[in-house]
Amino acid sequence: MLFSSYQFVFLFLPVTLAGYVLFDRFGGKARSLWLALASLAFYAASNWQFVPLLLASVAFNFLAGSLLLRGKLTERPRFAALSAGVAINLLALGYFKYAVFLAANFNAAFSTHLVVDVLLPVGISFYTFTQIAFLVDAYRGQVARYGLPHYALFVTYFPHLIAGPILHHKDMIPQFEDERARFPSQHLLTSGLMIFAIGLFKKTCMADGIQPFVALAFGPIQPSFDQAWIGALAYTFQIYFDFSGYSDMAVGLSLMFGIFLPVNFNSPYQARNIIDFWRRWHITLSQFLRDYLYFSLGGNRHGVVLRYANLMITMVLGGLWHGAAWTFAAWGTLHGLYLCVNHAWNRCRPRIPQSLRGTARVAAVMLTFLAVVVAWVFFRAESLPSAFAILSQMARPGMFVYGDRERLAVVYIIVFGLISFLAPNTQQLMGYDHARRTVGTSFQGKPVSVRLQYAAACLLALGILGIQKNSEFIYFRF
Amino acid sequence: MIAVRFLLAVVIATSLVGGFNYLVDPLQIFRPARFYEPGYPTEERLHNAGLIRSQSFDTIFMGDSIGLHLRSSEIDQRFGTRVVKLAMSGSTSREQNFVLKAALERGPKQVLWEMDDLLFADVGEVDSLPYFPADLYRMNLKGTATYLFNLETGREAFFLLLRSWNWKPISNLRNGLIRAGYLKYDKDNVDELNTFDEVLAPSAYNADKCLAAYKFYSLPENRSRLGAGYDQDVMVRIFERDVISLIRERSDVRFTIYFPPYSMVQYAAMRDLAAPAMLRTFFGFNSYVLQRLAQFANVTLFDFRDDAQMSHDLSQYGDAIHHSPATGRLLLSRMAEGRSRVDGSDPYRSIEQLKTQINAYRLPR
Repeated sequence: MLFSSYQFVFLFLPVTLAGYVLFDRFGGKARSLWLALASLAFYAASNWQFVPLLLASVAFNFLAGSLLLRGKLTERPRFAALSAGVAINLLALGYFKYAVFLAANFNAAFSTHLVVDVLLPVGISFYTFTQIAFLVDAYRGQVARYGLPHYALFVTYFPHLIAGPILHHKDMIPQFEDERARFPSQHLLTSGLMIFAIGLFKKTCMADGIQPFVALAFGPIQPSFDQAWIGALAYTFQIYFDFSGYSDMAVGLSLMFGIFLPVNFNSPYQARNIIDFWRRWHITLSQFLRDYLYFSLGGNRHGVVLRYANLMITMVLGGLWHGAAWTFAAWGTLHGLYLCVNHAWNRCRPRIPQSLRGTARVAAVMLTFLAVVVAWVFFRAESLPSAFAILSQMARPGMFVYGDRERLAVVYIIVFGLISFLAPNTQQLMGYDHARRTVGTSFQGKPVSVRLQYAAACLLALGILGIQKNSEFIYFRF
Repeated sequence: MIAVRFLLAVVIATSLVGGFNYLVDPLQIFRPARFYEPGYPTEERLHNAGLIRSQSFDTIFMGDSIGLHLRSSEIDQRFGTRVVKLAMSGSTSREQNFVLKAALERGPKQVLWEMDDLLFADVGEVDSLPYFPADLYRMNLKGTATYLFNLETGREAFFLLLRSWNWKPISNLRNGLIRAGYLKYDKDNVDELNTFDEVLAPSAYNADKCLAAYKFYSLPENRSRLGAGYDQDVMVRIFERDVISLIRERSDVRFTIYFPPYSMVQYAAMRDLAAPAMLRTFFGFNSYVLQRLAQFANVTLFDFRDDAQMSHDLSQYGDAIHHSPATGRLLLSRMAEGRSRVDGSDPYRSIEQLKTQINAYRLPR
């Protein structure tokens, strides 16, 4: 079920909220149970065949975590238990996500005809990573003992289940367990609705609005110079507004139930360098990769060369996490290279005179943005040759079409660019502070104004009016 | 009650757009356009829902892409009818049955139906087709709400209203947005919907294009396309479900059904390139269809597939099966004259003649 669907907005959400109010009277466990059941229903509505897999994953990881937490094991068996737990998670993920890709490559390399037909369970990348983090922390002794209902809710919680944010048990389960918390106030409900409104508008009016222009570069016909740039830029904005819109909706929905989710985006196209970009784009994935992969590989503790090698490994695997295709590997590799160059530059960059700092800042933002756009071409292209063909057209300013469609696309790109570069983001507008568990104080330190509330109401109306049939979120595929 | 106030604001804003869309009604599903010049989207499955309700007609023209380019006025001229054209490119008999049933509720007395064996593909219910707005035809709550509470409808309504202003910059902007694909209601005249610019006909319909289809089917990767979904039992079941049931149900309506001519290139490809069973299935299915349709008193049947003058003239085809608008007009004239009519006492005659022609036919070099 999509957040941006009539079924969700007019049926699932009101019913789940009403049930939550009802079960709140019977205590925290009852309402958590209701929320877990509602989350399963949400998942089953469009992915019923994968519900057993989800439940098995929850049960397995809960048991493995309990073994690590409660079992009186010595160090080596504990490590073996962790390794087995992580390996089984990765095997399941590998089978469902990469089996077709591996078979295709095997066939290409050895001229065989292996046929592998596996459907990708929606959300598997997200709930697998969430639970691997739980196992690792259980091994490290950084996990309190959780009850099964709260653990199950933590994994299946519908606002994040399908496309994140990737949650951390230490952040979420205490919120579910908090018996003192009662059904959220009008304030949280309204704030949640407003954040949801902004997210829905971003998705249905902005991301879906600019989506048709993406085909100018990524369609079946070879693009001209202007079409290649327009398509690449259109996709750059589409993916941002699509995914950040989804994440805003997740945060807003969760807030309606009194639960604060971490933010996933912080105006990423305003980043001044690639390191900064990864602190602003898909923040929860970046944190996961840093804490559980990059640090586990040794991080920057073993010298410059190994640091760069670790960065590359982390980013290539991060790319492949998005999907089983060489294009995603190329995207990850490119970002790994960007990060290495960025770290190297930081070590030897010259001092910039005060008078040039403003210009340098603008240049840095534009250069970072350009690098990100180039990488998105690999992310979106059907194949590596197709990505190179588009990039070569982008570097060949000979052929222009610039017809009505292209002119309209430029208007969209300028508007979306101004919003991305200059406008405050959702958490700034709404004064959403995940760490402090507060919301409602705007970025200027004032309470969210009535005018902003009405503006958000209009956005929700436009978001609902913009709902289109068959418009999935890009990150549902990952 | 901040949340209530917020939701109230959402309801008011949504209702304002919904109300505006209802008043203007760009698709004309509630009423014909009164205070503005109407526009029509090219997409047949969308505009048909509006045409059924906004046009006055006594005859329905139904068909697929082969009949799509005919003009309603050309049919009216020859048959003295008032036709609404509801043909849909790539449509299956299931879609055609659904649209016909919706249109027949308006009480027309005749259906002119362009039919061919490609219609009878095994597809799901119309509701399962993502591109088919079935609820808009049903005018149920979901269909009406999806149409009214929709920004796209509002955008089209807004620009149709602006057009009535007749100010050049606005009309230039609207034309630019139509060319950009942003606005979809791009036709001003119902008669122009999905018709063909005669100036372009020579480049679109010629022997080279027709023969290219044979080359296309010759490629190993395309050979299977010829016989895809060609199963006589399945096709007969679908034909009975979508065509015969409707004819039987609506005995008060006259169904004039015609089978247009494919080019001989299509038959040559079926003979030379497809599995031998394909031609057998073709003849078997079409013989069944002709004798079955000939049994109904409310059916008038024409079969042009054995008309050698048309099927052998490759210059009048855009590919192996799609004939030119000129051939379409010729078909109408011949039907009006009663030529190529299938005789109920000998329904297989045209198919038998076609068999002989196919056996004798050799592709031009």
